[in-house]
Amino acid sequence: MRTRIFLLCPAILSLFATPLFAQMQRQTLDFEDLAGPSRFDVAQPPVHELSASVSGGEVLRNPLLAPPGKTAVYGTSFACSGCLPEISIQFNQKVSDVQISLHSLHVLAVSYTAEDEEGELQRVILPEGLRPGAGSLEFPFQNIRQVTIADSAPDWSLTMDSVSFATGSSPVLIDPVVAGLLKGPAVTTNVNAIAAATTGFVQGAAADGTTQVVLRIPAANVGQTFTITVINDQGQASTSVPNDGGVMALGASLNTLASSLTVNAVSTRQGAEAFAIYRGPVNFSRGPQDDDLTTRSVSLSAASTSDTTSTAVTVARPPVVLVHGLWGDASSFDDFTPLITDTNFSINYAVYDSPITGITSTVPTFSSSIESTIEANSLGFAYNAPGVLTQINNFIAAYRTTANIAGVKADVVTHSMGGDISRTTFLLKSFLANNTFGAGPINKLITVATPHLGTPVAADMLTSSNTCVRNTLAGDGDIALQSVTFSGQTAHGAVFDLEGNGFGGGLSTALKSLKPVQPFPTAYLAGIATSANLNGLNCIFCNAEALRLLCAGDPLATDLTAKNWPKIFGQDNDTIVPLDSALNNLTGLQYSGVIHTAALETLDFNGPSVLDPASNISSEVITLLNEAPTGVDFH
Amino acid sequence: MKRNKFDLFMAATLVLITGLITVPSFAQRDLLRILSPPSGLVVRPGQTVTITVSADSAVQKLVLVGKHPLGLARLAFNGAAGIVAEGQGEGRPLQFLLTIPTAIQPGTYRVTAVGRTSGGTVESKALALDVERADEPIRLWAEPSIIQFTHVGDQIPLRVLGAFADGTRAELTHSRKTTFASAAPRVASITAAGMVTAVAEGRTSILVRTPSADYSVPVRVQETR
Repeated sequence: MRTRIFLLCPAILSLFATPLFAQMQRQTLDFEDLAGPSRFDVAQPPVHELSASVSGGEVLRNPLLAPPGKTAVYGTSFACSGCLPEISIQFNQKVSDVQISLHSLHVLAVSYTAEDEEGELQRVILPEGLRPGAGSLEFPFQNIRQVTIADSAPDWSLTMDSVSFATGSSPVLIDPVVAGLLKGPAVTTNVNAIAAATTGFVQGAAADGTTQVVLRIPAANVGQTFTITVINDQGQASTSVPNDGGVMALGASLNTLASSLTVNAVSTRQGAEAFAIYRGPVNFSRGPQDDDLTTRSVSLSAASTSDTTSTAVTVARPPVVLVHGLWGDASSFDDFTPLITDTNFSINYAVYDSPITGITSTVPTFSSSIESTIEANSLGFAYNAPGVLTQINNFIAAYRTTANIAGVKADVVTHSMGGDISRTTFLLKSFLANNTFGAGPINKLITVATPHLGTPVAADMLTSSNTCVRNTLAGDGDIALQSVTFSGQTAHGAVFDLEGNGFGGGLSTALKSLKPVQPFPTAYLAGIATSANLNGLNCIFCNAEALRLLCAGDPLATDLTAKNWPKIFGQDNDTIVPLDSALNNLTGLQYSGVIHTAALETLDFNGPSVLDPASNISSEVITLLNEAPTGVDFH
Repeated sequence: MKRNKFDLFMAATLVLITGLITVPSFAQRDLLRILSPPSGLVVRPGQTVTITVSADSAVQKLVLVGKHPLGLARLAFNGAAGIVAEGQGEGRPLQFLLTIPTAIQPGTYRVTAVGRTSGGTVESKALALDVERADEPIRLWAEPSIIQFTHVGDQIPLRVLGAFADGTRAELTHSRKTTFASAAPRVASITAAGMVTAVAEGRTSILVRTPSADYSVPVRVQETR
């Protein structure tokens, strides 16, 4: 069935009958890059893709009644909690010739909103709606800004598998990474390629000081001059490139970024077009007024002698990636509130806790039973860094797709060894990839209790005199390794890589290999345990006493007392990581009365841990995520 | 984890243990064996499991330790709640009580008896406990929700999360009730543990299933030059 919709009123029709630009291009939103269940369950946030935002329902993948060749649809139903009985498609620019392929069991009410020549929005209700069944809605009109499809039946249910529309009358923002418009680490100067781009249309850019988007402006003729000006959120011409981002010409150097730019339209195979590059702000928050925002906005004004257009640009925070530590997993951050529940941030978890299979030997040795439980979180920096880098890059790519925001960097927040592994990613050849404009995917690094200079506990754990302690903790999953050989390769153990005296001496080769000067702005947070955190060790009917009795003679067991444990470090520490190590022998933020991890409470250390909300470190991390990378807390 | 208390009687007993016991060959016989329950037993969060351990008299001291967050088990001894025991010989097995934390993630957890002899430490073969919730999720999702590989051979782990009718959430990646399948393994494969590997350029999706819900994650493999 194919339903063609016509307006009954010719007067209204003529409002939107402006001539099409020659370089009209079609965009098709097909939901194939989005995740979802096969049956309706819960409403999802709006889908932002290309130049459209779809809301009211959720994405279904592999539904029973998917059209041939399709694996994903967008739908709404009474069976979906929080879904609405109507689907709304909003366009962030004027579009024309909208076509929607959909399916419903009921008569649907259809309306659309279009912009007239005065910029006023006109809502038009189609008188006959759409009959039940599978069909195609067509809107052969121009300047459309929104389409709404509603099902008023009590058991409402409708799905659509694609929305296509034509653009061309307005400037568009193109993500050059998604559209394949990079040459090396820079945006191509091939104007035909940019003019022909049909993917990568975005609604904004992340505030990471690196992300670039292309502004493509349709022109009336070659040589037409446009003055492009960044307009701030107060509606004024921007005077701050760091705060509002800046524009530059194709092929120009980054040091030419400015708040305004004059460009001339050039000839392309798609017709006359003008181009500029917009690079986002260096930081999302300009001050307290932005700290509680998810996004903010600027616009790009393109003024010519005949016309002025304005293109809205959403400025968004970079996604946040949390990286856990030794013997940990994503649940290490379960209590890291308020950050993990703060909806202003897109929170992701990079994990490295997969089982290691095919183990043929370990140093030191463990029983085969323990060997079979070794996970990647017991292995060293070099083994885990590639996987963490892959995950960081994927989270950024997923963010681009789901938020429809160009972005190439993430803010990385780490606990313990997660900081060492994140720093190790810089040593990988793929770190400074072209699709990050050669800058790498880490915007800011915030390390919490990371042993940048190692910890003396690591070497203690690997000595033969502590075999009993090591074997007992291995049963808990805390497997201390110097090396492990599996599937034809030998990898360092994590504990081996964490060796260091905490003052800067005795560093493992892995720690020595890390650059002393961070390649990305880094903030250091350290915990300092007090006597209140240690006095639980003096118990006599407890786990600490059990370890002391079971492993009597092992130095680590003997030292598991409130008096002896601090002597291991010879300086302030969080019971595992010495203070100088957590601060990398630099300045940083210190928190007293906390221990390294909640897992230590099993051994009768008293919390809270650095990842416990009572430590206030999570709140401090939010402050640091808002702080400019040039702020006093970043090195 | 709830802290265990050490039984005063056991502490006193252990302090009195002296002398060396000659053991001919630790490798030739199991000095520590978990007799029951059978490996693979399904247990619930909050449940207390009784675990019986046979310890040779050569084992001077022993504990029963489970993978975090199970921690150390309590010794069931005359109603007291100790932690460290001593080997009593095969004819006199020891009983430990292990309480499964209520907030634990579903999955397989290994429990091992670790002991001390005059010749060093000894361990039992592990007991695998399958921790599973009694209820099923009413909604399922996975993270990351989109996978876009830029290099063949790269790997990304999937985390599976569920929302339950009682308002709680739990990670279900390691639950034995969670299964994974790739619609096109020639593009991207997935292991039983949820590790996705890019095999060749193309598009596919990973289907995650539990008995009550499913979720599909789109995967794209596109090499960057």
